[in-house]
Amino acid sequence: MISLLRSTGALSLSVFAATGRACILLIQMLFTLPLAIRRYELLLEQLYRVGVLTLPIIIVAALFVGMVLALQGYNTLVDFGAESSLGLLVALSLTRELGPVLAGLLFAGRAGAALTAEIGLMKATEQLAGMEMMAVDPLWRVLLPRFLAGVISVPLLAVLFTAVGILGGYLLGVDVLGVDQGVFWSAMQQGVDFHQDVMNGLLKSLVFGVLISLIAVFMGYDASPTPAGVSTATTLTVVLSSLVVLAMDFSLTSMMFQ
Amino acid sequence: MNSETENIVVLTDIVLKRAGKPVLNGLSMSVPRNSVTAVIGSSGVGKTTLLELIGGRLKPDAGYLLVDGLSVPDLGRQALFAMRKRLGMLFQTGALLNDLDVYENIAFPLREHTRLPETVLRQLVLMKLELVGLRGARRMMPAELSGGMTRRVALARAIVMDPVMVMYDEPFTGLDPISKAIIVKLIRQLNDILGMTSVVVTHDVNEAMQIADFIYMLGQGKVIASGTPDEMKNSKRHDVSQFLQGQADGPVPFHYPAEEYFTDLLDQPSNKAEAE
Repeated sequence: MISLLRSTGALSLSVFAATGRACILLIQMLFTLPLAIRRYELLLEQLYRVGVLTLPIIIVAALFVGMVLALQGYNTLVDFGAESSLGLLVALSLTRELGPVLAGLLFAGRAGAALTAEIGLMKATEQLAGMEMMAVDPLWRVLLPRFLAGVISVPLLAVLFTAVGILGGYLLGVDVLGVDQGVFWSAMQQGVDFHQDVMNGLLKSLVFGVLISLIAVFMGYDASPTPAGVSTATTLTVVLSSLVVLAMDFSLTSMMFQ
Repeated sequence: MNSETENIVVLTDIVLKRAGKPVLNGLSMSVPRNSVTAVIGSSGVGKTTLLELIGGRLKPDAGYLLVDGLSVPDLGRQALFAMRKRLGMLFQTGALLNDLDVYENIAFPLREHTRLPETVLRQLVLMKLELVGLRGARRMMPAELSGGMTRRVALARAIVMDPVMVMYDEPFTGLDPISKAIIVKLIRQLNDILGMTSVVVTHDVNEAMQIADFIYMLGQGKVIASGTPDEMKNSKRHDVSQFLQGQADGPVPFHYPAEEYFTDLLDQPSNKAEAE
């Protein structure tokens, strides 16, 4: 009983300590921002590796999610003769929730894990220490471009997810299930509010982008420099960022859509 | 000449604790300019820690540490990085950047710290590659290199900024005899040709004896013996001769501290300690 209490206490302490270290890392990274801006080609390279290479999984997943939404939505709505609202249903679900959340989750699995593993391995093989001894600060040379690339990529990927998802819903709803094309789009146009729905969704994805990228970069940088340490850190990145995305989504939703 | 200009590194009564335990405990030593100084000692005796201190990656809990006249623990971030530009370090694993080829790895410090035109940069890189005999391997990736080649590339990178001092962390470990001989030859040559100072941390006694002008032997967090290779060979101290001659048992015990053998054997696990 006591040992349970003790281990819970130790766990909570280590969680708080890690959160603190992550925040310090974030602040330190932001201080090196001017250096990173001067070397924007590093950021471009990471944007490609973190953002562009995540596109295939995002697009394929979005297409299927959109089609499933249309199928399930249609089956429910048609009972009430409300299949004209199918476009609205698909668009609202995607802009408000599914776009940001699923793009975030997929990004964490595809890019977040890769970032953690890469940085962790660089640490384990003394590449980061080597850089420091060559008077190059890994904070802006390695960490900051990857972090920024994540922050920029996630909202863009979420927007793309939403767009492709709607396209998927359109393909299935209009071309397969036979909802009228004009009704599909006009319901969407009337029902979706730019500020309330699109911008809030974008804001959500920006928050997710910051959190996932920080977790991924921090976990790699903070990993114990051993093979076991790197694999633990990679797992933790995916688990933690998924949980954080879902928890933040709930809090943000309850604030945004009252 | 006073000792500060004669010695590039001066450590005085350095104490460094890790998790409450002293790793270095009152260590004092100095590294004369333009010489090869070897630091030997068993694994885990704080040799690598010493290099991290000199490079400013760790701060001592007590004591003074001067590198080229600068007190390293008191340097701000900018000054520390400025100092590091004049130091080269060879890591045990090489620490080459995985995503860059040999050429770009060696060019890395130049690209980060200078704005040399590409032609000049190319000449500098090729000259350093020629010194370590790997001009032909410039387009290979780190993953394709053998252990010996990795270390030679890392060596070329360590000297590409023409440092005043190069620190070698276990440069001979895990190499075949030929590669070892190459590294020994290179350290000596580079030291003499380029007029650098070399600090070699190693537990390979033979290589240290061949290469060094002066040897420090560490134990229990401080210098337990020092001298030229010949003086070390003739040392009367048992712990020194045990290490130099590689004997399994001696002043440094074979057994890790444990409770008495028979009591331990006859002990039932349920009795105590292990059951916890």
